[in-house]
Formats: sequence, C-alpha cells, structure tokens
Amino acid sequence: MVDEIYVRLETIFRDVFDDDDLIVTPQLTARDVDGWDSMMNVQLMLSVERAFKVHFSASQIASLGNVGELAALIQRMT
Amino acid sequence: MSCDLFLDLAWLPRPPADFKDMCRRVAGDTSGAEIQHLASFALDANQSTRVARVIRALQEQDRLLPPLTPMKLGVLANGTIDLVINALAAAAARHGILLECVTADYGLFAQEALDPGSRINAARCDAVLLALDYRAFPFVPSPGNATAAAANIEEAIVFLNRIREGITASGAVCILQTLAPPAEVLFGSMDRFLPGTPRHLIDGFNRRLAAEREGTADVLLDVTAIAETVGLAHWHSPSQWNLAKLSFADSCVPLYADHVGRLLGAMRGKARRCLVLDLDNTLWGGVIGDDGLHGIMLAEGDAVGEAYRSVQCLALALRERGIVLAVSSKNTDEVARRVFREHPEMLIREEQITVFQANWDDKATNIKAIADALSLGLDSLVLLDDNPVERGLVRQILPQVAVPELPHDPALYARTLAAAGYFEATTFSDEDRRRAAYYEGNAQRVVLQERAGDVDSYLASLEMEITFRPFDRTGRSRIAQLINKSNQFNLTTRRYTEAEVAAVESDPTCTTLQVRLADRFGDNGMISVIICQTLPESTWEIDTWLMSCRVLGRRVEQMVLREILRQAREAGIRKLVGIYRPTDRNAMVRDHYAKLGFTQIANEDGGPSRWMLDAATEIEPASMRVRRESPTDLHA
Repeated sequence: MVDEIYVRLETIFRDVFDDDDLIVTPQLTARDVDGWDSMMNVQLMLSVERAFKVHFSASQIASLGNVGELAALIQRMT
Repeated sequence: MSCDLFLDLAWLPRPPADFKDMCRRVAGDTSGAEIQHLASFALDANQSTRVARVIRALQEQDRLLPPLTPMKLGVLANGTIDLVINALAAAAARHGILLECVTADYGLFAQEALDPGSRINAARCDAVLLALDYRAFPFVPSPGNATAAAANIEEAIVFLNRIREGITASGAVCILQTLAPPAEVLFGSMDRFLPGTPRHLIDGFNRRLAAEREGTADVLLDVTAIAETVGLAHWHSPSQWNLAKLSFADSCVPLYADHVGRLLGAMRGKARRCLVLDLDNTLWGGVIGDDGLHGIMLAEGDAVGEAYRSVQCLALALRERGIVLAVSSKNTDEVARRVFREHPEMLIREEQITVFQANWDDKATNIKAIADALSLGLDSLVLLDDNPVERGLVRQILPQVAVPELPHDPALYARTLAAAGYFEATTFSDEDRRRAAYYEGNAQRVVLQERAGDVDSYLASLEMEITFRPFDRTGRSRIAQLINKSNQFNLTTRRYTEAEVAAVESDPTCTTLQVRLADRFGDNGMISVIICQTLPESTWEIDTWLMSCRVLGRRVEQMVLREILRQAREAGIRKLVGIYRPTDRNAMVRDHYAKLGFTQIANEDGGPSRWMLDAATEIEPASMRVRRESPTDLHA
C-alpha cells in the first residue's frame, strides 16, 4: 500500500518537476529538489490531490515536513 | 459528471502516451504547425507547462512560427496567475496564436494599469487581460438599500474604467471579464432581487460592464458564463484561494485558458467559418443506404431521434449567424439527398448546404475539395463525424481541420460541438447575418481532384486485424441479420432466413466466411459475409458477398478475396465466378469485380452480370494482421 503510494508519487513528482531521474524517498524535502518553491509546492499538492482524489486542508499541508509524512497522510485519507 | 465534458475539454483528443517525448523532440527546425499540433490535445496543467516551455524556448531564438500569429498579452490579476500563464501559451497556440505573456507583480494590478511607465504599459501589448474576480472590487453589501447598492456598483465601474483608460492609453485592447458570483448566499433566493446582496451587486456590475463595453474596441470574456456552466461550487475553491490566492479552482484552468485562446484567435481572424457535417449517425440515427428513408431516426418525440435533431438545430442556428454548412458523407449522392428532399422530419434543407459531397471517396480528399470550392483555408473548417476512424484520417492528413472528439451518447453531440468554441466571435455584423443567404441555393457537388494525402500510411497506423471464420452457431443470428439488412455493399442482395443460414453451415457444397475487423479504436464486429457455392468444373460461384459500409476504403474487400482464393486453391478449385445483381440501392458495387481484376463473362441489359477470375491469381496483401478461426460448436 505505502509502496504503491511512493510509486505514484514518483510519477507525479517527475511530471511536476519535469525530471525523469527524480527519486522519491521518505526523507525527501523541498531543499533537495531544484525549483521546489512555494508556487511549485502548490502545484505539487494540487496534482497529488487530483491523483489520489483527496482534499488537504491548509493546516495539513503546512504540517508536512517531508515526503514520508505526505505519504502517511495520503495513506490515512484513502 | 456532466461538467467533466467542459473541464476535461472532451472535444480534444487525449494526449498520446509519448507526449513528453513529442515535446522533447521539438528542435530548432520545428514548425508552427507542429507546435499547434502539440497544443491540440486536451492538456493537463503539467502538459501545458511543458508545451509553454517549448514555445518559450523557440521564442527566445526569435523564431517566427507561421501559421501561428504572434500576439503580446499583458495579464493583470488580483490573484495568483502563475498556473494560468502556462496554460494560456498552449491554449493560444491551439487557436493559432503564438503568445507572449507579460505579467505584473502579485497584487499590483491597479498600479500597473495606471502608471504609463509600468512593465505592462511599457511592453506595448496587443491586448491586456484584466483577470479580475469579485475580490478585486470594493463591493460592500448593503441588503435592502437600493441607493447604496447603486452607488456601490457605480464605484466599482468607475474603478474598472480608470484601469481601462490606463491600458487603452498604452495602445492595447482591454479584455474585460464578467464576475462569477461567489457560491455562498446571504438570504437565499432573495439574493437575486434584493438590492445590495453580493449576488445582486455582481449581477448589476456584469450588466453595466457589458453596456460600458459598447462602442469601444474592448473585448468581453464572459467568465460568469464559464463558471455557471461548470457550477459556481466547482469554480470557486475557498481552500485554493486561502492556500495560494487562486481566484478559481485549478481544475478549471484548462477550460478558462481555452476560452482566452478562442478569444485571442477570434481577435486575429482565426475562428472557424465552415461546419462540415457527416450524415449517417451524425445528422440522423442509422444508415440511410441500409435502413432506408423510414428506418433512420430523427423524429420529434423519439429520444434517439431528438438527439440528432439537436445537432441539426445547432447547425441551423450557426448558419443563421453566418457559418457555412457543408456535407461530407460516404453515401450515394442521390440516396443522401433524398433524405433532405423527402424526409418529413428533416430540419436542414438541401439548399442550406453550400457544398454537398456524398460519394465513396476518402473524406480528406472531399474536405480539401470543400475548402477549395468555398475559397476557405482548411483552418476555417470543422468536421463533425461520429466515426473515430474518419476523424483520425482527417486529423492525420489535414491537421488544420478541427475535428471534435464525440462522446458515446449522440444526445451530447450538439453540446460538445458548442462547447468546443470553434466559432468564437468578437463582433457580429450585418454582413455576417447576410452570409447565410449569400451561400444559399447551390448544394453543389465538387469534382474531386487528386488525393489529399497518404491514406495507406494512415491505414497502416490503424493496426487492423481481420478475422475469418466459417459460419457457425455463434455467428448465425448476426449473419442472418446482415444478409437481410445490407443493401448498399451487397453484390446479389439474396435474403436468407436464419434457418437457411443454419442449413448452409453444414452444406458440403458451400464454403462460407464470417469476417470481423478490429483496429486500434476497437472491434468493429462482424463486417462482411461470404457464401461460395461449388459448381461443376472446379468452380466456385460467389452466391453472397456483402460488407458493412462502415469499413469501406480500408482494403477489406481485397483481403477477403485473398482469403477466398486461398481456400479455393486448397479445395482444388480453378475458377471463381462472381455475380452482380443490380438493385436500386447497390450501385456502389457495380464495378466491384472489375476493380478486383475479374473479367466480365456475361451481362444482361440492365440485369445481372457475371464475372470470372482464375483461382491461381495472387492478390497483394493489405496492411492488416490475419486471423483464421475454426467454427465453434460445429454440430450444435
């Protein structure tokens, strides 16, 4: 289940950041990815919401520290 | 959800699986037409961004990219516009515009508009899009206070007009947006009429806006209508406003951008001018050549018929506003015209069609002929056709022609065509009104010149698979149905009951084929039926050869003959005899045997003709895979 979330997240990340070599790990944060600024973060969150058919509140988004926490949040909500 | 038709831009083909690679292949020598092709798919946010990046790279090399027309658009917004900007470049290219966007810093729209030296005003834009929502205006609800409400609307209009004046002074045209009211109500239904409620203020503002535009060069983008079409609850996302100041939901960005693209295209004369209509299963239900005048469906009061009537109604309404109508149909000319002349429920009359092409040639060649006859560019044409294979052919050979995808349900054909916005306009003149009359009265038939393109390579791309199987229990009822229903592509029009078909299955003097065809659009089902009868002197006579007109022009006949010859030789047959029995419906196959290389051996005047072919003849294979299957439940 979590593995599948990571596979799908990797596709989304590669699409949003236009980088086919991007590897998604639980420890990954905005500091590790070129161009991951606040606007890209919005695009990323919207793409994730659409792909997993979930809706995040602003406080949920603000609380995320890395991709691991994002995957855990998706798992809780789906 | 039915709003998905709009949000997904359902009239545009889905991007192919290798879309990313297509974008990466764009190089210095890429043409404007190729860029337009990339933009012609239903793109999501990330795909639009990719196309925008490609366009930007070419613009940085100062490339001119005809047929795209360059346009510089300033965008002033009170929300975050980043998501929209990328989508705009792709949507504009879709509508023939090579867009360069100039944006202002977040929150500075008024300053940018009013300062003659601002980035937007100094850029000498062709047009400036005022992408403002209701939050940009000083609305103060005053329920029940008509005087305050009127003053408040006036205040908002004065504010807007100051912005317009600033932009106009720079020489740019303003694109003004109507305001989508918020989904939240104050009282309820009363909000519509009680002065001073948010909805009442915004309604009043929108009415004033339309009036203020009169007599100026400014153009209106009716955002209210877009938002109402998909639903206000869908349009406004409180979460996304709070999160990133998106003045409408990200899911609406492709639709909004396409609307801006249409408008820009219309401003530069890129809107379409001619609607080319297919007939069978597009303008009426059924196939006129097979179902006959009383078998096709277009009656008022019948759910199926009304779906097609709504297509006719829309076509007529478009014609009234100056869009030229043409017909391109695989049909016998006389048979197709009879529906227009004689069917009591038919809404469109023959003289309302300016060019009428009903023949058995490929549609690309016919559509090219229509454009030539009307002296219009191919980029002025739209083709409405229910058949995905025809749509694919025209898109491949004549990519300039707009060909909407159509949903499964014909009730949605008219809505889909209208939603695509091919005929966007910014003005409507007396001349437009008169154009319909100007084109009236000829329903002319144009003689075809040379072929429009390489049909063979398109056929190869269809990945066709043809399946041959002798008659069997499983196929029996469909075989009997085809034998009794097929009129046009039917060499002998011999009708057999299901019991007679069953008898043929086990008749040792008969060799039979049921033929199926699949392609990358799906399975066409059983499309051809053959019965050969063994005669003395090692001869087979082709008692029955029929085919569905839906697969005409795909070299199925050639492959069927190849299979008959193969089986004939296996059975020790030396001669194949074909018969053509003319009826009032099957003129299209008069030369069937001649085209396949048979020699005529007998002909009664106006009656049947007999044709002969040596069984040793080799027929070129067509580009399709062949499968041979054994009959199922042979002795059931």
